[in-house]
Amino acid sequence: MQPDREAVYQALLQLLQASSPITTAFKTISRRIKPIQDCSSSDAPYLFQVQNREESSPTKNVPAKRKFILDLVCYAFSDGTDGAVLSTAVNALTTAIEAALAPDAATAIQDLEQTVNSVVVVVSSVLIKGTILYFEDPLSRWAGAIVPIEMVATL
Amino acid sequence: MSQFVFDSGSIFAVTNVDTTPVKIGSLQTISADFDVKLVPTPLQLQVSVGMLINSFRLKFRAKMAQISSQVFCKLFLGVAPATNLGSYFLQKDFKATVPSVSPYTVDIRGGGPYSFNKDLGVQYDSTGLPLTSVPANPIVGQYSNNASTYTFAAADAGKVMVMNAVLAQNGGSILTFANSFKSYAPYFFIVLEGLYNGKHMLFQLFKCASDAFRLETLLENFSMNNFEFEAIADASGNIGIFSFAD
Repeated sequence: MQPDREAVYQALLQLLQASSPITTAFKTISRRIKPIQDCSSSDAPYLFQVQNREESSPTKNVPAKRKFILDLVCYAFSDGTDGAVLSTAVNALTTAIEAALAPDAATAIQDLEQTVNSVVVVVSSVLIKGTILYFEDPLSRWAGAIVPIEMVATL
Repeated sequence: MSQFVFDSGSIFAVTNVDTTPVKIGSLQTISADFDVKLVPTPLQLQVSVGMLINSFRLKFRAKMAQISSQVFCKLFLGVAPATNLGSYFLQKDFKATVPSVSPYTVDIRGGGPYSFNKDLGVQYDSTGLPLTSVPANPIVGQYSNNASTYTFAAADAGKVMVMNAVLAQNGGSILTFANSFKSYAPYFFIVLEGLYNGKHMLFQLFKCASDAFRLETLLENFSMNNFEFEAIADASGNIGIFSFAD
């Protein structure tokens, strides 16, 4: 049975939730994004998986190749007592995401390979692709990053 | 129904160098050219009534991002590399300050567990000017080296040097490539697969030889390397198996 797009997004979240760099770095991991002002410092750091867009590039008589493009939105809070700059906390979060999505050593590919609803979900590739945006607010002591993810599949 | 193939596919090879199969990693593309040379046979007529197959060549080209000693040595050169001798690397632009007191020596290994192989020169860090290599007793602007220990002149004390050398480390593999008599090419068995949506296209080529290995580095990018090979008939007169999903 061919997995659908929802299974692909669930598989990515499952991969992130099972990754020790992610569970070490983040307290909250969810697909339900919150505005940063509704976030609690006690539940930070946050990781939200947010769908952005899909690109389909079919040609006549050939199946479509799809790109599932999404953002991993990270929020970090630092009360400043440790003297660390806000960016330091956010850098640790993006590093954790890179580690979670690192390619398999034997194949040099990250292809999800997660079982969702009894279906093994495998995509062609999962990559951090594009520009990582950072932001920080010294007044509220919140900072964050938006990490662009591209998954290629032939669903 | 005929099938599609998505992505670059997979190639594995088995050589007669040893029994360990080789995977060609980080494949970018595979191209297969089946070139048939046809000779028209017009008999006494103006237009040919038949085509004679004069030659049939099965040529393959794999573009890969990873560089494998197994592919280069075993498949292309037909010799297994030694894996117990370590490997060489370039100690590139190693910066060190000449001590302010005698002895005015610097070890280019930088405290690492390496052995020295070949000196590749020294420059002044401040000007980029190269120093001259001398056998011993260097004066200003000169250096001498005894393996990894580089000696400078007292007049160069306190100056930062940029040094280059080939060093050896544990791990990796080495093949010393020697000239040899003309001989048949090394042969290998190839398994090549293309896949889409659970449908497989798989070729098995019983006897192949490589006629090209191209390594191409790119400025601020990963190298892309070509490995080319051609399939021929084995001792039984068989070339291979072409397997399709339909």
